[in-house]
Amino acid sequence: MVILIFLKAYIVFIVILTIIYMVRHFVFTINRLCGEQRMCYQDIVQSDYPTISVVVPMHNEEKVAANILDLLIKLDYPKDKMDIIPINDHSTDNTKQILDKYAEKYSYIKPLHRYNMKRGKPAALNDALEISDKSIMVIFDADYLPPKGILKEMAVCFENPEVGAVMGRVVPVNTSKNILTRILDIERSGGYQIDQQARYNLLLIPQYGGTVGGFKRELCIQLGKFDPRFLTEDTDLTFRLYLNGWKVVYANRAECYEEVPEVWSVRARQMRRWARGHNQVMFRYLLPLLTSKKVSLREKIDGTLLLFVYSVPFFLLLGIIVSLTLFFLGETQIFTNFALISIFTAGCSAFGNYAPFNQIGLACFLDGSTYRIRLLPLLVFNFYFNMYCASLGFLDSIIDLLTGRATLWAKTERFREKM
Amino acid sequence: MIIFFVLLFALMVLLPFFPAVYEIYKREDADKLFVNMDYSKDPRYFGKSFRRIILNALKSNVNYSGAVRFSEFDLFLTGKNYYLTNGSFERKMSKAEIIEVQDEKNNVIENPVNCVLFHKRNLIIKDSVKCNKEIYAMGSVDIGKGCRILSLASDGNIVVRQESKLIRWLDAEGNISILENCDLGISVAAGKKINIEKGCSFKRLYGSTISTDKTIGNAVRQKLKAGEQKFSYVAGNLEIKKGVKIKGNMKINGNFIVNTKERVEIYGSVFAEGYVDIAGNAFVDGSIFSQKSICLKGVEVGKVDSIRSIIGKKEILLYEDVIVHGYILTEGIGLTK
Repeated sequence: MVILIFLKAYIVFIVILTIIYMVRHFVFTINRLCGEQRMCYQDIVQSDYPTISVVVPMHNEEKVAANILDLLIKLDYPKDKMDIIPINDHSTDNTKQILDKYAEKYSYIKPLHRYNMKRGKPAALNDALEISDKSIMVIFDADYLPPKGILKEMAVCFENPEVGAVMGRVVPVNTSKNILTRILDIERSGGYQIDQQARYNLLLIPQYGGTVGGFKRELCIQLGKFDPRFLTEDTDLTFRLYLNGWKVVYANRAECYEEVPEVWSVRARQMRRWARGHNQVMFRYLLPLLTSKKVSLREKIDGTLLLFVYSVPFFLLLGIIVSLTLFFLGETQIFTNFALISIFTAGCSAFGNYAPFNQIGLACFLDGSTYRIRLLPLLVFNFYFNMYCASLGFLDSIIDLLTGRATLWAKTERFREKM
Repeated sequence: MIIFFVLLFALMVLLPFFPAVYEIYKREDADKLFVNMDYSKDPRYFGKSFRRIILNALKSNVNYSGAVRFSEFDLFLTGKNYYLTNGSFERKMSKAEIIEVQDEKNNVIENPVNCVLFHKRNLIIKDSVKCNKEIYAMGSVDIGKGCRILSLASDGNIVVRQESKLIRWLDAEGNISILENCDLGISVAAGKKINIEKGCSFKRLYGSTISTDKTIGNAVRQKLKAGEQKFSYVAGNLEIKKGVKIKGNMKINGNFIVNTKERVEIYGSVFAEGYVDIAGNAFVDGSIFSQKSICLKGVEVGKVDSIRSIIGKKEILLYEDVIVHGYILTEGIGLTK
């Protein structure tokens, strides 16, 4: 009897949770559709720019290393104000040789070769923080293709003294490859064109995403650099910045191509790693966020929902299992009063409308790519796929929390053949 | 009957996926989103791009004979002198266009311009002329009163007389002087100075010096006597009522107001969520950015060798005695008062 009451209460909880996230997605969508859009700082033109280190962490990146270096050389940023630090992190392929060849030719390319120390992006970035003497660090993953003007677009944002980090927009380059890449393409559109921009518009918490983004070097050192135990050093930095009174700016026009996974198994591992890392951050920062005096109420609400983003899929999965259990036990008569009926109706509507569909549909419209809206129904498969992978990541993070086990950085496989 | 309903049910379940299947099969929108890999921020982009396009289009008309030497913008500059044949030519620009090439024999335009014009010398556009196509002049241009200009690039100086209307952009290698009550379209950019008189509306202005002042320099002559302060973050409004020197960039969550006749100097950029209103005798060695409006009177922003930006989302009002070295942009309305 007690178990049955608990199961029914859980279903009510899940429905309320679904409604909360539905409202969140609709608020973002409506803001982008009808709301006032805040200007970003990219239009500022000035003759002096801050000094920047462009950092590219690499582990066995021989397929893509030369591509990104060729593009970084073409950047229109004053070369006396920048250097490029490609980090060879325990590579066993030709990455080291490629980097050394470029360093011989260009004095501002300063490779950092790391062997016999802890592998992984956070540890590698910590070493780069030490060797850089520039004021801003801009990070690109090795598979990214930065356009010529992107550094200036991001650098001017740091003129605002409260900005600790800047995030640009990620655009998949291998969209046309297969169904997976096409789904990921529209998912990314929704995530950046709507989600991130709306959060910037509404003075919430735009997320620093760890690539196509930059942060103040001295500030990052002051905040204790990156924790090598975290798999999502970007989310970790986002919350540390806000907890210390700093802001993250989203620069929608600072666009950069990336390569998205072309194989479901690779995507599954990526999603699981993101979920695991994100939940590690949630366990650490949820309480400090709620009790912080430096974070506004709206930032607290958004930050809390953001922290739970990768645990909600697990709760939903559990909800499906619980509802099936109740169904087979013949205990589905939960509608006992008007309030519950209202909640369930709204919940049902939330799932039927599935707010992210609207969000992604609007993103495609704003991007001027209206025919890809036809792919929206396929997101339902992606929804269950992500739910499964993120749930595994959530369980990983619980085990991390309970056992304190070490995390091992896993690189996402590259698919590039030839540029 | 059961089979019918089973099939109907299956059809209803699968129906939403038909467009997706169609798109996967047809691939009508399967390309990656466009990101311009060569994009580099340049406030003079319109003018430079147009020069490149028109010169490329006319490439076949160039004869190398030592007659005339053209500007540095000419992509096919070889170090030799050369001349461009006069006449009308149909050429591919963004689409097929008739390009009229003229020289000093036709340096006064009195009738509407209905084809792209390439002029090799100084050009005078008489009052009330409508130029419905782009113009490129290798000399200076004098635009008469009440003209309507689509776009114009000049390698010399430009004068825009009263009540003229610009639809798109204006670009000069030299100075641009804009007289009263002009509508300045999308963009006005100069390699040197821009001077604007009262009653003009604009969206973007760019020049080494942009001035609303007829006596440039009056606003910044007094010596500062006040002390030095630092405001890196202000939660509400910030109002300055007496002379002060401020160092460092500022973020103000409310409005930023400077209202004093005493000298105010700000060595840093100003970012405001509210409006910015600076009136009096101020110097800002930094950019000014507002999510609302900016109103300037008696202010110098930036230096000749250190350009800065004034960006106001909804409105920019420039009163007298304003000098800006660099760039002015608004998504809303820009006005000179």
